[in-house]
Amino acid sequence: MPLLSVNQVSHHYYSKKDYTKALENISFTLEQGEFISILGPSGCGKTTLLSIVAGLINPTRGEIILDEVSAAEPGNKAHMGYMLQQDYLFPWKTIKENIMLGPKINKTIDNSIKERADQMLEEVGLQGIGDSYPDELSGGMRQRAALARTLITEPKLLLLDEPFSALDFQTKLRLEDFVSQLLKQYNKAALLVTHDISEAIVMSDRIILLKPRPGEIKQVFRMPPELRKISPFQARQHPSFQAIFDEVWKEMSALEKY
Amino acid sequence: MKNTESANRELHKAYVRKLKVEQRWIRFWQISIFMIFFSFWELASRLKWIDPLLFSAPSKIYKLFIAKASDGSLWMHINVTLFETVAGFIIGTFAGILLAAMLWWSTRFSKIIDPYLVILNAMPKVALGPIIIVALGPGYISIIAMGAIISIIITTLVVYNAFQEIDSNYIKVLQSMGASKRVCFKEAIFPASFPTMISSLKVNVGLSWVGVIVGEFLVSKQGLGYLIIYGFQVFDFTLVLFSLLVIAFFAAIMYQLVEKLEKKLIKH
Ligand SMILES: Nc1ncnc2c1ncn2[C@@H]1O[C@H](COP(=O)(O)OP(=O)(O)OP(=O)(O)O)[C@@H](O)[C@H]1O
Ligand SMILES: [Mg+2]
Repeated sequence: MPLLSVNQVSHHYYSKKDYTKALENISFTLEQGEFISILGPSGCGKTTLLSIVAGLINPTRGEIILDEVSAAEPGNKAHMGYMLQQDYLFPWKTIKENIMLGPKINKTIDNSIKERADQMLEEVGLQGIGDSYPDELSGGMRQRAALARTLITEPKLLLLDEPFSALDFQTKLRLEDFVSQLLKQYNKAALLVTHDISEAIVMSDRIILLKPRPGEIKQVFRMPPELRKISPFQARQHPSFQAIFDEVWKEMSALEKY
Repeated sequence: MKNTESANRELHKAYVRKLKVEQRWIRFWQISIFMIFFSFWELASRLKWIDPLLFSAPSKIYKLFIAKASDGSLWMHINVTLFETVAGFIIGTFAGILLAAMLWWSTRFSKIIDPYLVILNAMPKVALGPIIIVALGPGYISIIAMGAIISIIITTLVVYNAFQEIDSNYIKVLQSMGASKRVCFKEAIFPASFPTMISSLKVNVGLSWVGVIVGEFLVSKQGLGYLIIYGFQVFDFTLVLFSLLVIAFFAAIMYQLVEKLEKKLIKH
């Protein structure tokens, strides 16, 4: 039984005049510990798909099963960590309060959680700044704090919506390595939305390429095991990287003509 | 190296000095305007450039202040008006915020009630005064109601607007953690709207004074508004101007308190 299965999901956005087909008949599964990237041009429904998986929007058709339970079940949200495109740290809360938001909402705050928050801060390299406010941090630090907030609830599945796109290149590379190492260490599954081809290649086991209007699965690429064994940073320099990049690039450029 | 360090320090000192000088100039002019205004008023009244019966004079107002302060009647009037204003202000603001929260809670309710709110907002609330006084009796309850009613609708509209303006992605973050609607309100909507609430507090300070003074005009029993209307009836404009100055003084203090609250609540 896979950790997550997306079964024939379609989603339409309605307006008074008409409806937009955002997603059409999307199906795939995700195993425990697996990393899948969703790649596609702007407006092809990536964010919509992620919101549906997170249980924030109900799909027009189809269903999401997480650990044999429908994602629409209220309790299931606690098993997923959703990280948005920007950090969305609450500016009036300290970093530590931000990080402990999940446990606070799920009413699981106790001393061990407070210790865990400190531990998380250390893990993302932000030790000692728990009492600062978000506006005192740099963009990269904020993104790491948001990551810590997502990870503290120990989600079974991590949903990442272009989490590195707003960062400078160096910070991005460092965070990619960090996230990848963390996921491998705890054997967690993740679904990453991106439109950066190289990021998708170096992070994932599989890449799902979506085509726009309506969002449909165009193609699925499986990354070779030699790239999976090494860190994203090393994978960018691996001999087989360029060939895969060219292949995905070709398919993706074909989509832009739509 | 050391040289530049001390030179930098000198530059910083010069900067601080410049700031202080600037501040002193501003204070100087503020005080000057105050002095010039009152001296000119006094002078103009004595030399009959303005009608002393109508515009009185600072010296007369001061004498009246001493007389009223020593017989104790002044404190009674101030007490009454302050109590009514503060009560009206607090009730109006809180009821407004509560109503805004209800509108936020149910989008359907807010859509239904919208045209009524617009009309109520456009209507001059003090015109309701006579009805309120007949309904609630000619006492402080009616006056407090006037102080509250004048600010409640505008507070509702402004705060509800702020509730809606929050970036929906913050809600998304909370919902993805399994937060209920109530938790979303408490963790995101409400704190994010603090700045708006404070600025509506500032507006409401002025509004509730208007409501209360008009209420006291109508009820005409006690308070600073009563002193004004009484002074008007017996043609004692020293009393009218005196009451006005007292009102200005306390309104300014209330405003300062709200600003203090703002500094305390909004750090980030
Ligand atoms: N709330 C909404 N109401 C109506 N239409 C929407 C809404 N959200 C998205 N859409 C439409 O659905 C389609 C998919 O949007 P979505 O945000 O999922 O794209 P995306 O792949 O995440 O794009 P990007 O890469 O630019 O973030 C777009 O055509 C968009 O116009
Ligand atoms: Mg998107």
